[in-house]
Amino acid sequence: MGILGNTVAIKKKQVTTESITETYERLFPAVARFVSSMNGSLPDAKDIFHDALVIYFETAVQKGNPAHTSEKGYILGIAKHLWLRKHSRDKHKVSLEDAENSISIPDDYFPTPSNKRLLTILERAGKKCMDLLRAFYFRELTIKQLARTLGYANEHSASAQKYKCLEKVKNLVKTKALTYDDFME
Amino acid sequence: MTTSWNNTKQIERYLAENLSPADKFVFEARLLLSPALQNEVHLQKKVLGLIKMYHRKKFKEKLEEVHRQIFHDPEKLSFQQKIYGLFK
Repeated sequence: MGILGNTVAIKKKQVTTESITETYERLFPAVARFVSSMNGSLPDAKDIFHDALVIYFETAVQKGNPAHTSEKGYILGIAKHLWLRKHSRDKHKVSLEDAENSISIPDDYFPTPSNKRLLTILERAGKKCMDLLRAFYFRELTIKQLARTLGYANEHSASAQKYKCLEKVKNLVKTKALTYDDFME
Repeated sequence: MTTSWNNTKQIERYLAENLSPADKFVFEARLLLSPALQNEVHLQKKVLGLIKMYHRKKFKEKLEEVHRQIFHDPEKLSFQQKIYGLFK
């Protein structure tokens, strides 16, 4: 699947404060219980739960639940993987079921230092464009809704703005990714 | 519309796998012949990766906000106690 192939599906599911709050109350206790059983703290549980939710909304919501397990089982599975990634010494303490073994964290989930630097620059120099592009690629907005929300006269001008922004961000990255290594990462 | 803009559009469709087989074939042939276009594709992929990073960051900020709300809402006291109870 292409890098954008997934974005169409995510548009189908509206992610609202209400739906997040509902998911939070329903699923946080299971993750908190797991983290507590590993002697982790409440902030640990919160961080892991947030990462698990981000990954969950990105993968399961778009492609269907790849582990063929319940939503709760899937999120708990991601949480276990995230915990083990940080605390490999706990390997013998965490038993992963078959379904959980089939869960993986996206390769690009933990950003490289140079990408972090680049993002900081982009947030400073191109925040408006980053917001627009994010809305277009990773939120539930279609170009039509985008035009309405952002106050463009019509879809054509919203689409034109999108490409302008893409060009702008590309140029920023081109000039800011100073070293070859940065660029190739 | 400028050539670079056309390229950006075309690259976007290529990365999204939205080109028809014929257009894809032509595009890949151009790609083979043009290191400059290869760089553009690489750059655009990188930009999309950065937008994804930005999206994740923003989404996590939203989750922090929801977390704060839930843990400060007097109506959600029993939920809070249930969680705090796990970390005694």
